[in-house]
Amino acid sequence: MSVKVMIPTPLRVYADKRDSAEVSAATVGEALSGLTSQFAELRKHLYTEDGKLRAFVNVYLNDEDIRYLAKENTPTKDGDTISIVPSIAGGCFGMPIDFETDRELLQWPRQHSRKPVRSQPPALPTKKFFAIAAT
Amino acid sequence: MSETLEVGISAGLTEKIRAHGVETYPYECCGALLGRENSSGGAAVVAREVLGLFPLVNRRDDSPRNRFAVTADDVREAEKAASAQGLEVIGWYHSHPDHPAKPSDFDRDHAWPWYSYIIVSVHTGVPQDMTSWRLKEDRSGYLEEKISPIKASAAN
Repeated sequence: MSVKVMIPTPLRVYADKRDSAEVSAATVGEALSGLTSQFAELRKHLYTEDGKLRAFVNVYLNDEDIRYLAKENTPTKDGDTISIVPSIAGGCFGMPIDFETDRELLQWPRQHSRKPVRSQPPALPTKKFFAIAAT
Repeated sequence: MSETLEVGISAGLTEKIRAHGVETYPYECCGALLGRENSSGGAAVVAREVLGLFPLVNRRDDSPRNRFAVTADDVREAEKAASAQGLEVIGWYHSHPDHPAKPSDFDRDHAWPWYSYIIVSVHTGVPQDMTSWRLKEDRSGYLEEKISPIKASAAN
């Protein structure tokens, strides 16, 4: 199956500055493997040393998060689009209040099993800091 | 040949990042840096310019004093906003409440290459140092990026 893999901005420098690549694959996992075969430098930024997708790497088949499908075993068909979308995380020194949920919370709110402090996801702030230089 | 990493940002946008850190103190703030690569610096200077900010909500409401998170959906929102202005998301900013403006091991474990990571230290509610970093290619650490002032436009 021929599928298109969309490459996020921070990884394009390792993919000849391309924003997408065509691969032949029967599953999402095969498609990602095909991508890293074409562009080997991508591998360390997508996978941990033990071969698992990094927690902050989100993969969508068309518009569905593969975590809610069959993960990397999700089958693909001709014309499908796989998107790699970053999550961003960080923080200053020290342990978080709840260490065990560090990895889980990158998938918050959909997979968070514990009740968050706020009962509703907070809205994005108003764009009072949003300023673009005139071109 | 070693490259000089540099990010330009106006005084106005710098103050907005600092103000965001003060607003959310004692919790970490976070947001997207919108801008573009600047090719005018020459081959030895890898420069880019921050031309806008897209403040975000820290999704780590379990440990916001020393953790921040931006979900994939928020990343997409920031990218849409950047694209609408003919820009791209070139990095992210966040604050370190009562900690130095240096990336932690946790920052490094979760960092993406290529992005500029601006960190502002906010000590007892007062903004202090602001630094910028890019992840090394081998993920072993960060390269500090020079922050250079650029002229503000009428917008910022």
